[in-house]
Amino acid sequence: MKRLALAAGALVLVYLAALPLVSRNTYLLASILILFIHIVLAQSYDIVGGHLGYLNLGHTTFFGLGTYVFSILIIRDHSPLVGAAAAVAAAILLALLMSYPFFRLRGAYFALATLGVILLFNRLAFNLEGLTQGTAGISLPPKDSLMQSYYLGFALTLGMLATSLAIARSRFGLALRTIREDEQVAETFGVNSYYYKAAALTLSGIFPSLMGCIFAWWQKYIHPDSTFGLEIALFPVAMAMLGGTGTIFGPLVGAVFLTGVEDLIWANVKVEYGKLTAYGVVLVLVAIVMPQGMIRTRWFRRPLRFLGLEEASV
Amino acid sequence: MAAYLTQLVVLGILVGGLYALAAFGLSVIFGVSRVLNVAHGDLLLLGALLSYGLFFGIGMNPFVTMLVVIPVFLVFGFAIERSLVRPISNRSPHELLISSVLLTLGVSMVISDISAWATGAADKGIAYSLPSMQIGGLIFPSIRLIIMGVIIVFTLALSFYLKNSYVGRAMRAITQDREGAMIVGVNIPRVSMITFGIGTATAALAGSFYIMLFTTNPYLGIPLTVKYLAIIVLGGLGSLPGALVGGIALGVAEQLAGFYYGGRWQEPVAFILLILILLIRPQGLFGRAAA
Repeated sequence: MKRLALAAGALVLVYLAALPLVSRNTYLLASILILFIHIVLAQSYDIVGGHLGYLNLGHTTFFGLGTYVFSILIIRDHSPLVGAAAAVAAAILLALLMSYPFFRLRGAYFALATLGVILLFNRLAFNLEGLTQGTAGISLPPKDSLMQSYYLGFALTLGMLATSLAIARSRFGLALRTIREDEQVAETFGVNSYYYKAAALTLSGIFPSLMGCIFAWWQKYIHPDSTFGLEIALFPVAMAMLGGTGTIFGPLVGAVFLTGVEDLIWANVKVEYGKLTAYGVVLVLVAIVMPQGMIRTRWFRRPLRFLGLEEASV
Repeated sequence: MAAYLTQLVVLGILVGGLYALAAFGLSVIFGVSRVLNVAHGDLLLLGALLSYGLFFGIGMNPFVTMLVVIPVFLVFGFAIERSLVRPISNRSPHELLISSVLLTLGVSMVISDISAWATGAADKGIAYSLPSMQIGGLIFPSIRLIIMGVIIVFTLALSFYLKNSYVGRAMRAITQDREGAMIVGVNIPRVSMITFGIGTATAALAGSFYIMLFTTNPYLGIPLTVKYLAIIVLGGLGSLPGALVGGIALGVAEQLAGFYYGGRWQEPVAFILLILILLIRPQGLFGRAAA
């Protein structure tokens, strides 16, 4: 049965890879690119949020940081490769700097403190006008880059999913989950929790940062609210939790579901308010009824077990 | 120059007392229910809105609105705890964390959106003027003095309640040692409900004062909550004097930052302060073990 799953998966991949070559539908391509962004954000969030058990609500700071570092270098006439490398370096630096003060906190304190980080960066992006051009945002030189961005995003998504799988199956992942279950016990087993926490955070930061570069490259315009805004900050968290936090591909499920809903339902319903309420109600219901996420429910487990992919929903 | 600085500090203290009030509600809810209420800032804004509505709707004196706001939000807090928090309260610590973050985040979103829909997303404020008092070359806006006075009285009352009433002692017992409290027969769900009510009511009360001093818009909720978290971390969990000191420290820091660096740096001060405290003394000034 596993072969059936792999065959189906390969078909999907071929379809996605060939799409830009055969289709002129830029709206579809853009939607899928957004889906790629969401998948990477949700899966990378879950490395720390799900496997390690520390809810990094400020996760999209890495994303925003990537967009800004990349864009700032591009408009100063550096090559995109330099921009991307700098974005990754910045993300690593941020992760390491955050580790010392923040990992001393547990549970809810950590969650809200990391929320403070994204709020801080939001304000910094507005205030440090000399560097970020504040509310004006940064505009990159025009160039049709949808195809490039699509393939880069596709590649990054595959890399992310492979990394998620690798982490889940490796000793690294085991260490993270041990820390999640009981940090003190983990330490007595010889798990250097500080090292693993910092490593997990750093790893979780690299992917969104690169995705940020791709986002900036595609959109050609970034702004403090589109990159460090509160709404997009909470999106990966909602997607990961809805899909199933702490599983291998739970966030993927959540990302696909929410992006689908966003694209199919909200694109057609034009209301000024009400969308946030709907999300809020969904979150509340998930919290009370289904905190374990969609992928752990019967509707997902049975088919996954049938396909031999049960480990995806542990 | 010194007079100017003193003026700023005094202003900071007056505003800080207000922050401390809201922060205390957050702290007490977390200590007893183990739920970090992301929607706390939104509850404050709801209190502000009720006050606003009463002021503009029936011309109630902004200070009198307090008498309506407190009972309404006490009950509202009971309702929230009973209906939303109670079902998740018996989960394992990690599941509780995930559930409570999701839950209160969802509540926050719903409150923001419904307020925006019902009242419009524009800023609102109550422009209520009283003549300022001048004492020895320093100007004290009367409103802030009165607010500070009410806050002091309220804080003393709350402190008395915590020390002497059964519920107050139960709240402290639960915060210190949950299992121990259960052993001596404390009805944790009931105390949890009352605590939520108290926490919500203090937030709403702070809100009704907030709208006299600042303008509010429906989307300020989460940044405010983070601000109050900064105060709790600064002062130490569950400590009423800690919240007060933390609140005042933040208030003063905000005023000084605004003066030296410009108004737009006032808001990030809370976040920067939070990070600094985490680096230097994570248990806060009056806290016990590390958070």
